[in-house]
Amino acid sequence: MDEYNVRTETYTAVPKLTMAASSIIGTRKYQQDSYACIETPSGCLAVVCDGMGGLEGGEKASSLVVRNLLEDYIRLTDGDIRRFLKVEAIKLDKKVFHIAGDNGEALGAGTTLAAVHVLDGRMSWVSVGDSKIYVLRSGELHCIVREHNYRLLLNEMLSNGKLTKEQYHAEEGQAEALISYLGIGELSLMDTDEKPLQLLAGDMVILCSDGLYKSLSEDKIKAVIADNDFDLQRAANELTATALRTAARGQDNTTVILLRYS
Amino acid sequence: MGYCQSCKRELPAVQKGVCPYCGFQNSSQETEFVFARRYVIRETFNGDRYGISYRGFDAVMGRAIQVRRFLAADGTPTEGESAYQRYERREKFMDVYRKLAALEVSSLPMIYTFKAEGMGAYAVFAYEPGRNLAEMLAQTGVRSYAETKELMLPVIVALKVMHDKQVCHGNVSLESICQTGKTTMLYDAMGGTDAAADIRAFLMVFLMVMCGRTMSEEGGFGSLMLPEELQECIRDAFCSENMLTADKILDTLYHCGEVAVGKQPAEEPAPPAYLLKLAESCDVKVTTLKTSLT
Repeated sequence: MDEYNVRTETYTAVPKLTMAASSIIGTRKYQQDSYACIETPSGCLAVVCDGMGGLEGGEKASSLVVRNLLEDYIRLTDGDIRRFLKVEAIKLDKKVFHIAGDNGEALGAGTTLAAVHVLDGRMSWVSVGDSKIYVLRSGELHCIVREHNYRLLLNEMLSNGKLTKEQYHAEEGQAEALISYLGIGELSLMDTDEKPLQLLAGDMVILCSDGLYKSLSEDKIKAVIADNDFDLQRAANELTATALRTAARGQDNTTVILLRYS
Repeated sequence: MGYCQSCKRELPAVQKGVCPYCGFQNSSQETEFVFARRYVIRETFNGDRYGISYRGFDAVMGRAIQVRRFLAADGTPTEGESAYQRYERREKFMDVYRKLAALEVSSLPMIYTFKAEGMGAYAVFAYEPGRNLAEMLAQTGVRSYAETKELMLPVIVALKVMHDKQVCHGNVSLESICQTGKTTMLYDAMGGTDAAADIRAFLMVFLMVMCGRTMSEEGGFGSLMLPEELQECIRDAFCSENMLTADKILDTLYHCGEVAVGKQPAEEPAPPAYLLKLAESCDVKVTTLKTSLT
């Protein structure tokens, strides 16, 4: 009680994480995307995988990665999540590499990986391939990972002077080919955090497969999220639905996970 | 820059023609203006002291839209209404659109968003140009029960879904129902509380559509004249002794709506049981688990 006989208490609202996910097959024959988001007392883990490879190879690859990551996360006793994510990526790369078909031969399947872990507002992540992780803060969309495709190499060689502009344009036809993915066998390129990112109240983390950002511009992604700020699940559903509606010629499998920290 | 000929407020240059405060169409060649820094407004209609409707284009998403704007953006209460009453009315507007946004029915236009705007608010939803039911009826005469049912079924479906969510239209009339390639209902005068009033009004409309309607010499539906025997029929249908008859008619109509709506939306699939068992065995409490795994 103070001198005026009024009891004052300090109240601080603790931000919490809300999750929503949406995944569509688009106009493809198979759904090769897999995803999961799980919340436990150890934090929230969200993962999106975009499989590739003929027939059901991509689906096998992406679901194997999601399944193993979830199981190992549940069994995790050591709190070093950054090390966990890196070690998991390397381990799962080998597992996917050895996926065999019914005839026992390697399927040659592969999958991307985009995974984040959030605990008390601190976010760690790992990314392999061209699935993306964004942070939406104060109306600005920031992509915190790179696309591990041939264009990354081409840009590097161009800026180092190892390639002329003409040579760059000649190679652009293959720019979308991935140069790093789980299943490559000797994983050497992945994006992770140097130190955990501290989320601020109001931030939104977006994980998505390339079906989303190849159909919707960043302005449209921001507009859909802003339009549906009253319902996170509706925002996720609208993102995939808008991607499907917008596609001029066919729509790839599209998956999005939204994590709102507020 | 200029001044509105009606409310005398200063008009920003980009909003020449239509006053954003009172909705008055000032005499000017320019009628297009940008609303909420995103929507290019091409037409204004349904302006009254509470709100105004626009039709236009969403420049970001590239689609045709309608906007229903609840005025008093400058905080001025209307005559005879306190600021708190105005605030309550605004909150009701937001609540109605929150409920409508949760609906998924093909005969209602999709609500894209709704936002508070100072003391006012606005809602943005899909616009699909098409035929207007009132205009259509003006050109044709009496139609069969089957034709009537086909015309009105989407409206029945929409009404049923809305009433299930405790949202009442409050102004079900020929003028407030607009038919397009898929029938839509204008979100006008929303927020009524009496579903029964909606149903009674709808039944009246249903019968009028079925029987055709007679235009007075002035035209329009304001002076609608039903055949005397039909007026008797409608009065009888709603008298207490005949309520069963009216209920039966409504049951039949709603049954049509239920059939049209079809199955309930699929529930979210349950997460794989083995993962939950694994968590249990490791003494880990799972709060949420969403996944594509089966």
